[in-house]
Amino acid sequence: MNKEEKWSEWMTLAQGGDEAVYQQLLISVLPRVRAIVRRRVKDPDHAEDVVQEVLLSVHKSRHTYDPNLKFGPWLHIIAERRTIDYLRKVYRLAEREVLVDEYPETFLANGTNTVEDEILVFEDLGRLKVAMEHLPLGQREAVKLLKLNMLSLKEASKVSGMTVASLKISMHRALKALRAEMTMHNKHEGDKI
Amino acid sequence: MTTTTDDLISQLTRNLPPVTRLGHPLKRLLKWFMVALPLSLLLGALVDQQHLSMARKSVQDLRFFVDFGIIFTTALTAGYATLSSAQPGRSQYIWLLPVLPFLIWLSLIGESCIQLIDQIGSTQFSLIPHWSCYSSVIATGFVPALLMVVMLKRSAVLRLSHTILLGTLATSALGAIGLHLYHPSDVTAVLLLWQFITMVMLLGLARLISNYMSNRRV
Repeated sequence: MNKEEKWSEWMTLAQGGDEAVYQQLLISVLPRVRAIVRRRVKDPDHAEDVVQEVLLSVHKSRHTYDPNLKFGPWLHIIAERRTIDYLRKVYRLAEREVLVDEYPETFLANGTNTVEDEILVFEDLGRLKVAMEHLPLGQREAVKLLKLNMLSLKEASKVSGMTVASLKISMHRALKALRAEMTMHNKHEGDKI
Repeated sequence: MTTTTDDLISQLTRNLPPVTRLGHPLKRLLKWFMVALPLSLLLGALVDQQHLSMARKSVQDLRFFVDFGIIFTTALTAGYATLSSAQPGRSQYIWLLPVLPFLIWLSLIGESCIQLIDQIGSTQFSLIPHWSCYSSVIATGFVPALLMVVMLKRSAVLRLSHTILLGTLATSALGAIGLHLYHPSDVTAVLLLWQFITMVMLLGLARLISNYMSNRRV
């Protein structure tokens, strides 16, 4: 009995509710699924996410398998369509997203003026380091990589393992927190004088 | 194997319920025909009551049977292709099946149009249907479209555009059987457009509401 016939028989038993055989089947088809996915998705982390999506699809559509048909084409079309769905999603996101190192501010109000904010935040590095201690880990990491080490968003993402989007959010929140901290500190200093 | 994929496999295989296998497309096609066709004919007859005498005249005409045969074949082949397209592992070239009957159907419509222009003159001829045609189109077409979406509910619609287009053709052809019998003028273009909108709307609605009606996210 070749692999295809074995898979077909296992899937037929899995349709009847045989847990052990089903587990054996999913483990056995995994290399084939990975090969199909990795032909199109080169990033290994993302590829593994797609592989899991495929396994979920196989599970949800296991009732559509007809034992009179070959198992290979059934699995192949599910894996391929899920991979294409994933790539479409990625391309759609890429079309909408623009990578920028800093958010351009478009309002006239003082509260949104980031140039002044950045001067306020980064002019006293000694005080900044103390203020950074109060930040959550992710925000502290974002400030360190993007502002102190002057890395680009892509570089910082690679170093930290955080996504570009979460780096942007962390940086935005960190700046807000540091601005508040520095403003309060300057006010105290002014009061002392 | 990464830990998460391992975990996923364990979760998927734990407490595995048995599933009822999806039937062969031909079997499901017959079920669809047996329910959708009588209902479509009945609703068409109710809406087009004033033209019922036309149906009696039509069935004495040989041309009626030629048209009827082609429309019926289109409905059968497109219906089979729709249901097959939503079952993984079946031929991916199944969409070719209804192409020939559909082309013959279109050519017969074209020929009817030319004959009509000869009879009434090109100035009197109009492709825009009368408003009363829409009610007939909806009466004969809605039930086949709704039932087709219900039939697709348990399937795995992996190529949504393929399935929608084939389903549109199948439901249009089935609806056209009733129209051909009761309705005086040819409204195939409106029927195709209406069925396309209906299929897209119903499948879209099904996706919005939940996975209940369409298992698109298989």
